[in-house]
Amino acid sequence: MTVAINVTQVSKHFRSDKAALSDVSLTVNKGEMVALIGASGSGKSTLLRVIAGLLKTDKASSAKVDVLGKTLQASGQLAKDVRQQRAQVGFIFQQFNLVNRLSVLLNTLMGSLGRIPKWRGLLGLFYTADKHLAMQALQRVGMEHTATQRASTLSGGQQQRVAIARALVQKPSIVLADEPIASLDPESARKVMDALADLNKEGMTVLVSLHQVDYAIRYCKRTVALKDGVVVYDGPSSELTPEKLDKLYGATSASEMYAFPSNDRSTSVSTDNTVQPLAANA
Amino acid sequence: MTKPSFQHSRRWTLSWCFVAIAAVCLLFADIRITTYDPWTELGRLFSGLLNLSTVGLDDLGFTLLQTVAFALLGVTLGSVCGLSLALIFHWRWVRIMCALLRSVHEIFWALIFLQFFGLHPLTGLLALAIPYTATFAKIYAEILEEGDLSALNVLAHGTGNISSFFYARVPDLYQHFKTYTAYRMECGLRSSAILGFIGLPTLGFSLSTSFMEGLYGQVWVLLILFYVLIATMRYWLRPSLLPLYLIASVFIVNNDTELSMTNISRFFTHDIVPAPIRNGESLASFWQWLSDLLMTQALPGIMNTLVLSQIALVASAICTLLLFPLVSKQFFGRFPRSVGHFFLVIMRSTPEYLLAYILLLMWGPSMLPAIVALALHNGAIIGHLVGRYSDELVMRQDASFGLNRYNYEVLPRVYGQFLAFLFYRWEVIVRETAILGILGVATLGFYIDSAIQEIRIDRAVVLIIITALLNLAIDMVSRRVRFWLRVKTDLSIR
Repeated sequence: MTVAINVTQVSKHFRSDKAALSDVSLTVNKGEMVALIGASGSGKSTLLRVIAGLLKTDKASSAKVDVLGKTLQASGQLAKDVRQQRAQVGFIFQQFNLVNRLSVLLNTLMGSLGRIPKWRGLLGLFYTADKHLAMQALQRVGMEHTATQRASTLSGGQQQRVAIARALVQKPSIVLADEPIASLDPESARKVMDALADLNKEGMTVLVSLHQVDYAIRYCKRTVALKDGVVVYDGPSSELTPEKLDKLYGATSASEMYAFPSNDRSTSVSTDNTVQPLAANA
Repeated sequence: MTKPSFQHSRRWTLSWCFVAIAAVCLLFADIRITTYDPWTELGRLFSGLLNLSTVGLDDLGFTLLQTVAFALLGVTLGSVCGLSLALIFHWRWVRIMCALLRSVHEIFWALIFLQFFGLHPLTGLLALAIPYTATFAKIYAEILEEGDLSALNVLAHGTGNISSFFYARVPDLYQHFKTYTAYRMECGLRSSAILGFIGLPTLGFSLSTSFMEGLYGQVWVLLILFYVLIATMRYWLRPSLLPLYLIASVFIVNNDTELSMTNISRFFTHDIVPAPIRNGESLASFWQWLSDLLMTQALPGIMNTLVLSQIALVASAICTLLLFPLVSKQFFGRFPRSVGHFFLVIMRSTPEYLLAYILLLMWGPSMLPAIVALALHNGAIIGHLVGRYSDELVMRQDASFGLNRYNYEVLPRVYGQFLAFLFYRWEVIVRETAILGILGVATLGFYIDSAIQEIRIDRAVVLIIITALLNLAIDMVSRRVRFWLRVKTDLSIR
């Protein structure tokens, strides 16, 4: 199997003494869909940003991030071609960051700005091929009917799906999603996760950070759990039982990691969604 | 079924409308460079920077003191009167009166007072205090209206109006009042300096003398001192020192010109009375006089004012859009931004009248110097505000850079606010356009100034009233436009 992401011994300190990441190593293979869970402040966002090259690691000599077989950063130094490499990584943010005043199609097309000449961008002369690509991307997330609407007219979940389409127009091989459903209602959250799962089925490598473990169990075969910047679990999601989580995070924190109350946890997982819990198939 | 298409917003339509209007105006505008060798003169102006000289500026200190003293007295008087009027601003006639007083530029007020007070300090004082009172009244009233009333509502029964105002409202709003008054003080310094151009003993007087003699070394000394004065204002202008300054100012502005009651009464009973009535002619000849004035002076004056101001408005908009990235965190690091700030502060602190005056000397009379001056000055002001607004935007971390960032990320997000700021300045631009006529462009100010030179005060007064009405009309349209666009200007930008 080919390796998509390889993180070796990465630590990251911000100004304070506390480490946001300490000695994290992680390998994600092509075509995997991996969940990254942990409480707020556990280092999920930091790790994703480090992988995307949006953040430099500490300068330790051993620290290294490889993406698709090329070194993106090593010892806190970004590779020279980091911009080109970044284009292969689509990033999805918790705050969808669409430009409200512009149309959905234009917001999606913005994903192609990085590879077209500056003057074309200035005049808004996008290539026809990119326009097709943008419409396809919108179709993939089920938003093509909104292409001519202003982004501000969409609901949060719809905006997030457009943000995914924007990332797709970048033609990435990997999608990193940083808490994509944290500010969405359950129904919208499900649709966004479905969209990511569909991408994964078509071969995209997806690394998604989630606050809530139920979604990880439902959508991802593998889960990486972080606590205070340290990887505390890396294995099949199916083995993440409530007892296990209690052990990892302590009973109080663990109970906060469920989107649905514990008594209907089993029903909520199996009833209202179209995608079967992946853990069950495993 | 028709294919759905993207609906362009009102701001898009409106923007292109204004660009189209300006383009049509350009066809009628008189734009050219008439001087033989404009760039040499500009070169000489800037080489003056290397030969700073105070030779011949014996009364430099006196000029600066006069400028500051007039500003202090005028703005303080305006602020006190404005505050009193703000308390009764809900009375309709107060609002109307203030709108009228405000719509007459301080230079026009000064031109009127010069006729009967002569160079008595009252001329400068009232010329500043009257329009400033009206502006203060409006803004103070808005501050009061938007303030928190909870402290007032819980006061004991029987607390008097004055006590409740000072105990329950002022403490809460003091900071707003102070910020706005300090900002107006800066405007006051600019206005006070400009009044020198029509003969008061302030900075403008020395500036125009040095300019006409071509002594650019002196010009720069005066300008630099003026910038320093404004830039250091917050260090020397302390509220606690204000009483001291005011007392000193009274002595500084005092001169030995005496008020002549004959002049004053002649002005009101004779000078401003329309000539046909004064001469006891028939009502028909009065109508003849009035329609002559309207057709040959007011109408062309209004046309030129509108043509020039619409071009200047769009030029200011373009300037703003080009300048604001210079001071925005979205585009530049600390050092380039500080260079940008420096440029904008200089452009902002230079009154458009002065800029236009300089450019006119360089390029000769046409609308061009006025347009460039208005665009640079207003572009710098609005650019500063839009830049500050854009600093608050949160971008996604992988957002594009440079031109793409400007086009796709920043501009769509700031455009509404930009239009709000721009249309807020519209009325100011029209008012200034009228004034720039004094420099020789055929806007309303030109006809007013000519009438005064010919000692036809009756005509000048009618034309000033017409100018005021034009300003009021533009103010109304601008408010409608902002309402239609559903954009809001918040307090901090005035």
